[in-house]
Amino acid sequence: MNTPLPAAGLKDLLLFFLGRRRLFQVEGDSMLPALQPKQRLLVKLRPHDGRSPSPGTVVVCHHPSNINLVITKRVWQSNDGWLELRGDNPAASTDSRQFGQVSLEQVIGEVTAVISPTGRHSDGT
Amino acid sequence: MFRSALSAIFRALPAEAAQAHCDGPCGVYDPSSARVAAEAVLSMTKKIKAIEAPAAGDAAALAAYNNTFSRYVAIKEEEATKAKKELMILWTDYFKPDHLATFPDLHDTFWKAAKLCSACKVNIDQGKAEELMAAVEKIHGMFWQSKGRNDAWVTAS
Repeated sequence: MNTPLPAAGLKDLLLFFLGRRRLFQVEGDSMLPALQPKQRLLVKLRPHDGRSPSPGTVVVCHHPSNINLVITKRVWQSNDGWLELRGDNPAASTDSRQFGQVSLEQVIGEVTAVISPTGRHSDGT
Repeated sequence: MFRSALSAIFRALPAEAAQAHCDGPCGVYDPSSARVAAEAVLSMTKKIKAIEAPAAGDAAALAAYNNTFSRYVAIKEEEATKAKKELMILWTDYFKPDHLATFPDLHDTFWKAAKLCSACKVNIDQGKAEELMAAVEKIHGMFWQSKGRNDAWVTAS
């Protein structure tokens, strides 16, 4: 179910400059091993056709009880406009097990590509 | 070469933060924080009950009495709030739906414990403070059992 996310290519860069992708940086360990801390993600904005991301998709969304907090988790189940989210690393994750299901409206988009986290982290760690 | 140049561009561009961690300090939970606060509530309740009102007409003694009484009440309020907060962290962050299979009365236990924190704030009620200690002891047992441990219940006083 969890197919590895592709590395970002030139097409992704063009889509970013065209405003069709947003760039996020992962903060924390809850999505290990798929996403590493400080890794960057390209996110395709959610289409407004009411279609839910399928299980296994990694999404970026607003925290259901704190609109200012943006989180990244994997879709565990989706039904009727509501998503059950989980971190890939459950021991270090706060997800739908605690905050419940997330409305589709809170989803910013789905992760379509990642930037390989090679090189030094920006904070020097 | 091309790929690493592309990655370098993406790393140089401004990115928004997407949080991927737990709300708590990454799995560090311990019911002892709630126990210390609950113990303080019980202690302050006993102290409030024990202070004696001054004789009528002694203004200085009345001021001292009022000062001490107010301080004790303020500390009782503060510690009861702290106990409630610590219990909420255990209830909503540490315990998971899976734990309900082992502890079917988990929600009821936490709900009643939280209510006892409120009752201890509102009243000077040693019985409620003792009930709160018993509830925290029960939660201590559930917590350590969920971790496969059997840590002894100890109190500071």
